[in-house]
Amino acid sequence: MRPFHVRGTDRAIMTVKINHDGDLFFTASQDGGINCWLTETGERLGNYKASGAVKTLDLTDNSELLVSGSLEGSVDFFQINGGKSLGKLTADMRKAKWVEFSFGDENLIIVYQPMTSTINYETRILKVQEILDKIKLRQTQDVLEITDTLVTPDKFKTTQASWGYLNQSIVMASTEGELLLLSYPQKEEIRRVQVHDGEIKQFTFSKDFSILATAANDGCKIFDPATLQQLRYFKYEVPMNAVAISPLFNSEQKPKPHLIVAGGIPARETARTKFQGFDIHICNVIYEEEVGKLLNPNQIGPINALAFFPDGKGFITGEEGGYSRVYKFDQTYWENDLFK
Amino acid sequence: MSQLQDLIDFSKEELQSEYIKKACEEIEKANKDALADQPKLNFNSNLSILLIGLPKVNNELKPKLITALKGFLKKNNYIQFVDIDLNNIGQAVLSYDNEDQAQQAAEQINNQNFDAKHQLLAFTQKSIYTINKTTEYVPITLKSRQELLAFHKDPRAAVTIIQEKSKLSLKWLNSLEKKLEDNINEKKLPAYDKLQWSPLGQYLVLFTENEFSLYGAQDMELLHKFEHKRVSELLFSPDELYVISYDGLQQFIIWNIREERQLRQIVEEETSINSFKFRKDNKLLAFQAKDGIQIYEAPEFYQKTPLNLKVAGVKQIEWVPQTNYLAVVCYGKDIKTQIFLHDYSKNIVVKWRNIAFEIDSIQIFVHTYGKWVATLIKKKQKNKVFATTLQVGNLNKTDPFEIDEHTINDDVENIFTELNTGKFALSYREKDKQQKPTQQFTFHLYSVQEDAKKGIKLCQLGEQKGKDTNELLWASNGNYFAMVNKTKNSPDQGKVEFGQISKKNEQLVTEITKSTNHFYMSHAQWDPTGIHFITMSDLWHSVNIWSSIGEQLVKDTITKVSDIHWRNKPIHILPYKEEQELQNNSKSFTKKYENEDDKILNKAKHEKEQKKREMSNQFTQYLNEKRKIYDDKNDIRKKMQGWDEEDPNSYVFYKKVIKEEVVNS
Repeated sequence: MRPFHVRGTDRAIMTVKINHDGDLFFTASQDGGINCWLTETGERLGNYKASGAVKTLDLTDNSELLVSGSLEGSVDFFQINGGKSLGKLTADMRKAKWVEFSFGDENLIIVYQPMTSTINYETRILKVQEILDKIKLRQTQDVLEITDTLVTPDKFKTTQASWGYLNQSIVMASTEGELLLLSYPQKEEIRRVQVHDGEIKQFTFSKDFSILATAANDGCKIFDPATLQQLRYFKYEVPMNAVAISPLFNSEQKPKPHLIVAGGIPARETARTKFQGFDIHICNVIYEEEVGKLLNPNQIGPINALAFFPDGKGFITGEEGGYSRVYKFDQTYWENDLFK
Repeated sequence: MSQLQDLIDFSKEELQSEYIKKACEEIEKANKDALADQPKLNFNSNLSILLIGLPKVNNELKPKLITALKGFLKKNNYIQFVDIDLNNIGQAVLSYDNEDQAQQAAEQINNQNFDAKHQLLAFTQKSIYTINKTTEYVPITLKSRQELLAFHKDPRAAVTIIQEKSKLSLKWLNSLEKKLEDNINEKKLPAYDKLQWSPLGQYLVLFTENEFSLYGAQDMELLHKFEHKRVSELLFSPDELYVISYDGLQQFIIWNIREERQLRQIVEEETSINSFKFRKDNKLLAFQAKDGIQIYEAPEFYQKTPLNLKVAGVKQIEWVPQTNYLAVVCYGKDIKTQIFLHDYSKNIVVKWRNIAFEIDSIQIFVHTYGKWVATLIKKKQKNKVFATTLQVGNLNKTDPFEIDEHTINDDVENIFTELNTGKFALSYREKDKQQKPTQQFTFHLYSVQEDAKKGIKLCQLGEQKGKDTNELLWASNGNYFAMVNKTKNSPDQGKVEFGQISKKNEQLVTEITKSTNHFYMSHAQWDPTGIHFITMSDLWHSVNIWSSIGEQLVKDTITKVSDIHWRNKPIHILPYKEEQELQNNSKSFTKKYENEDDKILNKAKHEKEQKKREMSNQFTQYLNEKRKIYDDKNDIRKKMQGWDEEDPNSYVFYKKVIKEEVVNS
C-alpha cells in the first residue's frame, strides 16, 4: 500500500476523527487548531480555531456540529460547514479530557480532569439542543446556566467515558487501570474491574458493540462490554497509545476480525535510545496473534491516534510530529489467507 | 557543602550527653557477656579449643602470661597445648595434636579458676556452633550425590526467573516449540540480599544478613542454613564438597557442606576471596598471604607446612590442572617482578621469561586441561601504560620455555576469556584525531591453537572496529560469541551482535552473523552449553532468548521480572569413552533424534491447529449471540438515529467530477 501524509501543524496531533460518511477527517493538535481534510485526495478544506491545546474531538452523525475539548477547560462548538464558531463552555482549573455524543446525538458527555488536588474528577452529561439554544440567545458574556447530570463515582480518576449500546450504559476508564460499568439513566454501578497495571490510554467499542478494546502500557486487552470479562490479551513491551477495531469485525459478508494497535516510547525518551517501537500492529482477535506490522522509516515520534474508515478499507494515524498518514488496504488484504 | 558549614554555627548546639553516657554504659555491660563479641582468631575446628576469661594484657606481657598458663596446666595435671594464639582481650586459641586431646582439655579446663579474679571457659568448635545456631533450626535433609545430579541428564536448559525479588520460578526452555515451559511454579523466598548458583548447578545460594542458605536445585527445597555474620562472597571447591565464605572484612570460614560443620576459620586483613584457590583434584587449597603461600590439605584443612612457599609480593596464584604446577605472579614496589611455575613433585621452579621493563600489572590465565598458560602484561613508562602484551606458554616444552606473544600499543581496558578452548578478546576505546577517547570500542580476538609440529601458537582472529558494544561474552564451546551493551542511560543500550568463528581455507576467520537490539537491556547471559543466549530488560519486563547465530527463539513479557539466571551445568556429564563414541558416530545419532524431533513437531502442529479451531468456534459463537442482540433492536436504533442504515435509498455515492478541457494547439 502507498500511504500519503498530510501536515497542517508543527505540533503533535492528539486525535483524529472520521465522519460517519467517510469523506472528511479532522485532526486536532496541541496549538489549538483543528484541520478538516478530504480523505480521497488529502485536500485541506479548512481550519477551526479552538482556545487552548485540543485533546478530544467529536462530531454528529449528520456532519453538522463539531465539539472539541481543550486542556484549558473550554469546550468549543463549531459548525462544520463554514467553520463558524457557535460558542463555548468554560470551566475553571479543569482540563476537558473527553467529549462524546450519545447514539442519536441527543446528549453529550464531558470528562473533566482537575488541575489541583482540591477539586474532584467530574463527568457531566449535557443536552445538546439545550446548549445550542442558550448559546444562540446569549447576547453578552453571561455565565451560562445549563442543567446537567453528574455521573462520577467516588475516588475514580476518569480519563475516558463512553456511551454503551443504545445509551443504556456508560463505560469509564481510570488512570489506575480500572474499568467501570454504569447503567444509564439509573447511574448504578454494575461492575468495576482492575484491568491494567498503569493508565488506560484509550478504549473503543466495535461498530456493533460486541467487543471493547483497551490500550495501555503493557499492551492491548479485549473485553465483553456487557460483563467486562477478559477475552483476549496482546502483550507488547512498548506502551500502546491508541487502538481501533475494524468496522467489518462482525459483518455477515466479508468478516475481518482485525484490530490495529500503535504507540511507541514517549517523545521525551526518543533521544536516549535508537530503538523506539513506532510500529503499527495488525492483530487477529480470534486467534490472538499478530498478523502484520507496518513501520514508516521516516517516522520520528510515537503514534497518538488511530481511526478506521467506516467501510473498513483503510485507516488514518496521527503522529507526534504533526503528520497524519492515510493508509488504504490493497488487494493482498482482501485476498490473502493470512488476513481472514 | 563546605559553604554550608561556614554559614551554620554548630558550636552552640549542645549534644545530649546523657544519651551518650548511657550508650557507653551499655557497651561496657555487653562486653562482659562471654560470647557477645566472638573472637576473630585463626581456628581449626577439630584440633583447637577457644579459651575465654584470661586477664587482659599488652603485647609486652604476653610471653609472661603464656608461661603462667603453662604452669597452671602443669599444676593441675592437665594436657599441655602444642600451640597458642593470644589476643589483647583475654581470649586464646589452644591447639593440640589430635581431636581426643582437644576434647579432653576442653572438659578439664572449663569453669576452672585461673586465679582469684579470673574464671576460665573453654569451648570446642561443636559447642560454639550449638550456641550460635539460628533461631529457626531446620533439620538436615540432604540427598545423595547421584540424586542431585540426575536432573542434569535432561537436555533442556533451565532458567530461574525472579519476580519482585521474592517469587522464584524455574522454567524449561523448549527450543523445538520455541517457548518457556513451567517446571516449578512460583515459590516464595524469604527476603535476601544476593542470589547465585553453585558452579556445578547443585545448589542455589541465598545471602542474608547473618547467614547463607542452600537450596536444592531440582525441587528448590531448603537444605541448610550456615551462619556467618555479614557474609558476602562464596567459593566452592570443584566437587562442591567444601565451601569458603567471606564476610568482606577479614574472616574466612571453610565449611564441609555434607556434614554441615565448620572446618577452619582464617583471619587475614586486606585480602579477597580470590586469594584462595582449590586444586582441581580437591586435595589441596592454596592461600596467598602477605609473606608467602600457605597450603592446606583436605579433608580437615590442616596446614601442610612443608609445602609452604616464602615469596614476597604475591599478586596471583593459579593451580595448573593435570600437572603438579602452581603458577605464581609477584610484583610491586621494591619487589622483583617474577612469574614462575613451582613443581611440587620435583620441587623445582620453572621460570617464565625475564621481565626487564617497568610493568603496571600482570594477570595469569590457565587452560582448563593444563596444556598452556597465558599472561597479560601491561607495560608502563612514566606512570602511563603504553602497551599490552599477551603471551602464551606451552607446558609440554619447558626447557627452554616456548612462548608466543602479541603486543598492542594501547592500554587495554578489558579482557574477556574462554579457557576451555583458549579464546581471548581484548577491548579498548577508540581515539579520535585529537587523541580523546570516543564512545566506540575495538576488539582484538585471539585463539590458542595446538599444532603437532610448532607446539602452541597464538593466532590472531582479526579486529572488530568501530563497535557500539562494550562487552564480549564467549559461549562455552568457543565458536560463538555475543557483543552487548548494557550500560544504563547510554544511547546504545540494548545493542546485541552475534558472531561466529569458522574455518576458511584452513584459517580461522570471524564473521558477524546478526546485529539486533533489545530495548533497555539490563541482563545478558550465555547458557552453560553455549547454545542459547538470554537477554532481559527489567524496565520493560521483557525476556528474549536467541540461538547462537542470532535467531530469535522466544519473545515474552513477564510481569515485574527483576532477575534471571541459567542453571549451571558441569561441562562433561558423560564419561570420556561415551563422549568419544558420540563424536565419532554423530551421523547415526542425529538420524535417530531427528525422527523424534519430527514426531514432536508434528504433534505440536496438530495441537496448535486444534487449539485454533476451538478458539474460532468459541469466538464465533459469542459474536453470533451479540449480533442477534444487535439485530433485534433494529427498530430502536432507527428511532434514535432518525434514519435507516440498511436502506440503500438513504445513501448517495460520492462521484468525482473531473473537468477536462481540450486545448487546441
